Amino acid sequence: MKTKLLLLSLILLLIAACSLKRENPLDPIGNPAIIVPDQVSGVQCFASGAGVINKFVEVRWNANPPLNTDGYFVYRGLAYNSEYAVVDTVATNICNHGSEPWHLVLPGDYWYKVSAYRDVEDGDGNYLGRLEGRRSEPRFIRVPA
Amino acid sequence: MRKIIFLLLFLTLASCLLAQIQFDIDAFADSTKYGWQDWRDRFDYRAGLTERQELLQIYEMESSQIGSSILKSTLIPGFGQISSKAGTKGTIFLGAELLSLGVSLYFFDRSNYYYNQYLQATQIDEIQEYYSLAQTPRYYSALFLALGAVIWAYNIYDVIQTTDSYNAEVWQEVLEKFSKKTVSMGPEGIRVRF
Repeated sequence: MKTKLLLLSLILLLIAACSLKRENPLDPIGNPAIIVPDQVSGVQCFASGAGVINKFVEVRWNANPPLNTDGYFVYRGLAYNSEYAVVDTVATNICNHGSEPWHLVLPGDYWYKVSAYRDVEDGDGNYLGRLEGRRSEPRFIRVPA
Repeated sequence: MRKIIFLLLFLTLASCLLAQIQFDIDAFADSTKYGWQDWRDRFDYRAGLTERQELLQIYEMESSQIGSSILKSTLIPGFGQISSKAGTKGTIFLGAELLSLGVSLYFFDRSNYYYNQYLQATQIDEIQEYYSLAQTPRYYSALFLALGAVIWAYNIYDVIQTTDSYNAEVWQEVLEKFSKKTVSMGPEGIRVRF
C-alpha cells in the first residue's frame, strides 16, 4: 500500500512538474486581467436581389458591449464545416460584404460567421495583441445570379 | 658519564640476550603447526598454492571487473551485460532504453509543435485547444522519460548481479578446466595427474 502511494505521489509530482507554462500574453487563464470578447449572437444575412450587377451580402448581428469589444471579424465559408476565411473587419455590428472593390461576391451559396475582437494592452499600456473571441454559429445565405 | 653509557649498553645487550633466549627456534621450525607432518606435506601444500595462484591469474584475465561493468552500463545501458556475456539481456536493456527515450522525444517534439501554435494563437478557442494539445503529449513525454530513467537504474542494479554470476561461472569453468587437465607444465617440470 505504501509503495502504491509513493508511486502515485511520484507520478503526480512528475505531472505537476512537466505542466506547461501559459506564456501566451493573450491567454486569459495565464493573465486573469484580460477581458475576453463575448461570443457574437443574432447573426442575420441578407443577399442582393436577382439581376443586381454588384452583388453583396449584408451581415448584421447584435452588438457586444464596448467594454469587451473593439471590432468584429466577418468570416465566409463555402460549406457549414468548411474552412472559413476573414472577408472583412468592421468596428460596427453591420457589414456590407461587396461594397468594397476587393470584395468578391459571386452568385452561389455561402456561410457567414462573425467574431468579436479586443486589442489587449498590459498595465503599462504596451500593446500585447488582438484577442479574438468565440465565433458565432454559421449562417447560410444564397446569392442569386 | 662513562659509567652511565656503559650501563645503558649493558642493559641493551642484556635485553637482546633475554629476547634470544625467549625465541623458540624449534617452535618456529615446527611444520606440524600448519598441519604438515613432513617435507612431502609441505611440498604438496606449496604445489597447491601455486596451482591456486595460477587459477586466480586465469580467473582475473577472464572475469569482468564490476566497476568497469557498472561504468559501461551507466554510459550505455546494456553494455555492461553484453561485456559479461549476457548479450540477450544487454540487448533488451539497450532496446528498451532507446525505445522509451525515442518515444519520449517523439511526444516532446509533438508537444513543442502545439505549444508554438499556442504561443502564436490569438483566438480564444485556438488558445485553449492548442494548449490542451500541447499538454497531453508533454505528460506522455515525461512518463516515458521516467520509464527510461527506471530502466537505466534497473540496468545498473542488474549489471552487478549479472557480473557476479558471470564471474562465479568463470571461476567454476576455470576449476573444471583445471581438474580435467591431466598433464601440466610448471617451473618445477612436467606434472601428470591421475
